[in-house]
Amino acid sequence: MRNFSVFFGKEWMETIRSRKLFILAAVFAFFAILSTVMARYMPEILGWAMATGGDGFVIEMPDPTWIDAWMQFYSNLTQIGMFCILFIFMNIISGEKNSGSAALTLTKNLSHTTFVMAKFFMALLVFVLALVASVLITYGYTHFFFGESGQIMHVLGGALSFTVFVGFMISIIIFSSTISKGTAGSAAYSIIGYFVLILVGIISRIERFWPYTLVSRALNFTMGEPISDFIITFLITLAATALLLILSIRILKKQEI
Amino acid sequence: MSNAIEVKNLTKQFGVQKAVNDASFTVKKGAVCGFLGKNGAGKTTTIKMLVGLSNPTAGQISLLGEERHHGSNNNCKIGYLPDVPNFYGYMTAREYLNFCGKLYNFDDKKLKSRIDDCLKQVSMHDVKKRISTYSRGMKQRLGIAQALINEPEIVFLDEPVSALDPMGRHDIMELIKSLQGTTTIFFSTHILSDVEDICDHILIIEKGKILTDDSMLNLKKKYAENAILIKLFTGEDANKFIGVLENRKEFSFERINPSEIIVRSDNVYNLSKQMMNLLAESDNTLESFRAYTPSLENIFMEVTKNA
Repeated sequence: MRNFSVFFGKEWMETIRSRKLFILAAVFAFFAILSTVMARYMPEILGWAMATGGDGFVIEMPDPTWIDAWMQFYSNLTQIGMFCILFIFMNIISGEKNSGSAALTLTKNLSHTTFVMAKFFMALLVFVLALVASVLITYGYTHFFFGESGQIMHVLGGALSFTVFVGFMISIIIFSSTISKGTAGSAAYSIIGYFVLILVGIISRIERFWPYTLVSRALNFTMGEPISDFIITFLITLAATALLLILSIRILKKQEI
Repeated sequence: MSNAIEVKNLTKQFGVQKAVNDASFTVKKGAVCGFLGKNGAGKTTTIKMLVGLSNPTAGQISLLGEERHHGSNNNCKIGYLPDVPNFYGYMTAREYLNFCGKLYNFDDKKLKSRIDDCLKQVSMHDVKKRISTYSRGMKQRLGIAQALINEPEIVFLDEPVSALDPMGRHDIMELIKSLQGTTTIFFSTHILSDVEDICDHILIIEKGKILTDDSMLNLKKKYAENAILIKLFTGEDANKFIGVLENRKEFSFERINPSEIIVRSDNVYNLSKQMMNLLAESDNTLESFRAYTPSLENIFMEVTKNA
């Protein structure tokens, strides 16, 4: 456990000095502000666009609500936010293997398990810190523009759902980075993994058993849908995360570094 | 004295090629063992297997009596410097050693003094820059410091002085010499003069096979010849003396540079007497005259020439 905290400390130093936390937090904060502002002013922007260039064609749009702000927020995080996470962490294992720093670290008093788990939890912590900041911003702005932001417990439920999925995504990135020799391979495997998750997630029959549901339902949880209906999805996602991490550790242990 | 390293029938195969082929050797505790070989002979592959970074195709490794396996995390008693060390560039040398030391559960007070000692040993105690700005030589010095931070019983150094300037090389060799007797040092190099000065055990590997496994003293004895090295003041003197030697069929000779000649005979005692007489007769100006002992380079060339 002591060596976990030592290596976790090293990962934290790397996160701060390489500005990973700052970059991810800045991107998420930008989306938080943008999402609320876009939700609030999108009907007016569209109305203005139609009036100036739409040849008299008018679309009746309902008044925006706080739900639109959260919908924009999760939509941005699911698309660009997820690729930011991928970009920042894609060489999480392969980077150390290729540079040779892993060879030095793993010939010290550090197990492969600690090496992988510390990296997983640090990546997750970086995401959670960025997410907490962006959720707070979205919550505040949404309240400012719309007078309400949803119940705090529901908002936290949505964020928790998204976090559990991102934990699974990080385990995919770690697994990809372990089995591939370079950053490109790691990124390619992770992107393929992500698209498989999205595409298979479309099949409604398996929705309840598929990790991507935690992303597609994050907005519903924010709106008040009970998380308890999807406990099985959470459990399956957590189990899949654990499985990928165990596999990564085993593969790394057998690899020649 | 018991053995620090025991290797039995160690083999590493990449496809059809055997990078290490049935290697067996032992290194005694406290010995400084020079591991010599040409580029691609199998030195780095062997060291990687010894430290657990590479999986042997066959064979056993035992360090300090404990069997060693690929991926083993039981590394408290060993130190390792790879041939091209790479660190976390965003750290300073002190921060890196602090990180390494904490992995060995040193308490803060002891770790601080250990870091100071290690940095002084490699002449880096006043370097405050981040590692990303270091030259290769500085990285190699830090690599040696991190290999020693845990006061290991065995240190594996893969080409520890290859990137160092002559002064740096001298300092590191002195450092290795100072560890002799207390720490087992296993280091690979192709700078043979360094090995000759400090090693008490020599392993020569060629095409994955261990060709020589012996003490420096025994090797010198084994490859000693009934020969005398004669050094004359000028090349012209040497030419004159060669003219004399050519008429004497009982000797064989070899000119190793313009003014130096090695003369061989079956009887080294008679040889020296006869050479003195011949030199006096031929009116040559002699600079030095001594029994010829082969250098490690000569031994290495001899051992590997037919491999």
